[in-house]
Amino acid sequence: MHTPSPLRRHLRGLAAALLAASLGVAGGAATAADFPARPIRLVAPAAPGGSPDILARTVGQFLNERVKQPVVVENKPGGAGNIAHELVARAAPDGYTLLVATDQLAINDSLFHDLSYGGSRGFAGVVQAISAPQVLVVNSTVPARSVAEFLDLARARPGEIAVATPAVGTVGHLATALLQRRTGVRLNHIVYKSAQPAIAEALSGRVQAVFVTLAPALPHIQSGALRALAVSTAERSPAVPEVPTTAEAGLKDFTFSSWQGFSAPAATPAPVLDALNAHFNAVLADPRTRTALTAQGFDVAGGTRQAFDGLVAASAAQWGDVIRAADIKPVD
Amino acid sequence: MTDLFANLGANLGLGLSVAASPQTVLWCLVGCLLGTLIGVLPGIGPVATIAMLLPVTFYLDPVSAIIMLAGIYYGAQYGGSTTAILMRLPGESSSVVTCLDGNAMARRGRAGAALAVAALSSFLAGTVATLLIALFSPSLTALAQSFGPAEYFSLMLLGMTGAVVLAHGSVPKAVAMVLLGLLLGLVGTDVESGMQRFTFGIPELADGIDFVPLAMGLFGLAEIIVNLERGVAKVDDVAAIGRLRPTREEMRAAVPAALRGTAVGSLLGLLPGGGAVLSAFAAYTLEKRLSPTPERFGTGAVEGVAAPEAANNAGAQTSFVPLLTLGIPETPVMALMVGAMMIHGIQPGPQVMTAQPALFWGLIASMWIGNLMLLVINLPLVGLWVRLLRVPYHLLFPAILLFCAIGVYSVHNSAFDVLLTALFGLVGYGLAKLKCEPAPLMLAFVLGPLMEENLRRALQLAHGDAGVFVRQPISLGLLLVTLALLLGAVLPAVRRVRAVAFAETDT
Repeated sequence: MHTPSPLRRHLRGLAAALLAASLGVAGGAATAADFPARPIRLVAPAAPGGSPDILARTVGQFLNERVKQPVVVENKPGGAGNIAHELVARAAPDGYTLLVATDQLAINDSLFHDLSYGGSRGFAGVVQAISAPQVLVVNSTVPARSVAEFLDLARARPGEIAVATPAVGTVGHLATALLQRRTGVRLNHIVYKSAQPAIAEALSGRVQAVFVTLAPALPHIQSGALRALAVSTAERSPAVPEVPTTAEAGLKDFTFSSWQGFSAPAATPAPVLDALNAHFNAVLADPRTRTALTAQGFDVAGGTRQAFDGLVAASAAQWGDVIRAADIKPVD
Repeated sequence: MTDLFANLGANLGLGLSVAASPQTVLWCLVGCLLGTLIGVLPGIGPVATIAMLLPVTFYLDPVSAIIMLAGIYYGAQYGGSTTAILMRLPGESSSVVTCLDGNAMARRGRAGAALAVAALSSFLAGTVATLLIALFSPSLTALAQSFGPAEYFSLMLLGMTGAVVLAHGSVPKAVAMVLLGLLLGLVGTDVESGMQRFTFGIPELADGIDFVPLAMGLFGLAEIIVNLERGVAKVDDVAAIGRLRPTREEMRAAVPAALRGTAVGSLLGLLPGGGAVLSAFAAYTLEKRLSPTPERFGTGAVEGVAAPEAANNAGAQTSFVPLLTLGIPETPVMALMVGAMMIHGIQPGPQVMTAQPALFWGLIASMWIGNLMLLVINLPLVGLWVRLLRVPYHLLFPAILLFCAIGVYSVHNSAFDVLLTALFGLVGYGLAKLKCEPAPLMLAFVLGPLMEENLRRALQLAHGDAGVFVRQPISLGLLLVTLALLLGAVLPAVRRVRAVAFAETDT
């Protein structure tokens, strides 16, 4: 090797200084008072425009106003969220790199055999930001006006009623598996790449029903092309107040919603997590955030970080049971 | 009929009143300009351009934002055609076809003519498609919905059969390239079962190989390696730019080709979920079939530039119909547009046309304005773009490599994709040495996964009954056309041997 050029030596010195500086800041970050002292990175497991990206950008904008530090949204789509999960789990646990955590984080614990980042236990929850109901809708020509009538129809023609769901391992997909297991009906379960083509197929009538997140189905429910039979949440959705919940429709133990929130690497110090939780809760309570998020079909959540940890653990357990019971083979 | 035209007037009037307001024209212009400037950087196609510029639009009101995005899209798409023609660097699937004859024209010193034909064909197609949408939007949606999995499968089969026609030269090699493309298309997560195929435990491969690294590697990088091998002597060839404007004969060949391309593109663009990717390929195939001198294709036939460019632009236009009325994105670019609309609080769906007529018709009118601006921006710039070819290779190649790396990285923020591009560059060099053409490979790579998904879904919906493909009239029709295409390829060979026996089938 030749001797380093002056420029290179200079760069090395600079790198060392930067490293020292970042270590110094990270060390000081444990005191919540001066947190955050640097830009915050929100890693979204989605392309620009995907639902976690929209959440991150909306919340990020108001968080920026509040903490007077830039909030940068970084898109790491793909690999069923695992690429983003891995990146954040391995980031410095200083509260400056956060994950937009979605149901996929909990579901992947059981959907994948061996996650290099250790699954959902590799994260500490900061706050649950939103929840969104799942909805069972049928094409308006299907002669079923309630969940009971739909199940009767499916029992009369076993395996013939086609239900479209978004990709394997999404909440809609698992919910359809769960529905068959709970009620014993046999449906023709057809998987699409995402919610939009599944909904389109239900609109054309080639499939009779679709189980998806409420937001993308909402315009078609309002136009009358699709008929909503039930929402999956414990309470009715303000967007479609006339649609009963699954519990009201007679489905026992069939209450769930999809959620999104923010999580940090597991080793992040508690004072930093508390400071972040306070900032996020203040942002989520801001009416401007609420208006922007409600327009996306999200129900704004908020709450303690312990509650979010509990939700992630409960979802991981619930969907784990479904995945095993429905005999969905984990991916290596 | 009078109602139809009265509506057309009212709707386009509303649209123009939105789109022709100084503010929206400004945003459209800014979008077109940004899109062209970034899209013309070698290696950065529409997907990368929109992914990069999307956040810029977050600060505008919804109508301006969507119109600016549409401008970026058209600009980037034209910019992508520019690099496809000048440097053989396709930024998205449709420009792969433009590479074939556009780049061949550039090599023959007709780069200026190829660029001008591309711009004029795009404008012609854009104008016709805009009128079509304004006239028939509601009924077009119904047509789009009549396409189910069985119809898609048959359409893809037809497209795949056409793929062999794309290649000039050895048919066995073209078939081998199709098979290789199908294999590469298999990589990723199986939609039906969620199982991973050929991912080797690499999470970046879980969603399959992306189109951009494959196209950049096979076309762009491979081209650079081949040129390096040929040495510096090539510079003089390319630098001979020749007359910038198309000749009279070129125009005479280009106009009917552009019109046919417009028809093909407008139809295929309507089909949600995969029609648009076919349009440029289909238009090229059609031209080659109709041409009395098909052997000119691949060596710089002007029809081979006009038809796919027109089809591509017409398809881009009409694909807004399923996007706006059904909310189904057809291409990665459209998926980004859906995301952008949602960020601005617009949920794509049937209500957009009625609930937000200003947005809907404004967007349609802005399409036409966008096309006009592209023409205004780009025709004077043709000379400038062509002069890029005069940049010495020792400056041009490193710059192309750099921009390719940036472009590929910016699509998914993935360094893995950059490595993949380098790998496919080497593969592309190997293919060039073996005289195998990458275009059929690309088509099979794009269509294969769609074909598999729709085949399985059609069978699943029909409870395993394969008869579904011949019972649905549209599907049957497409299969018959496929059969005719196959016979057309086989018959001439047979006819030479048994001319008399086949005399009746000719009539």
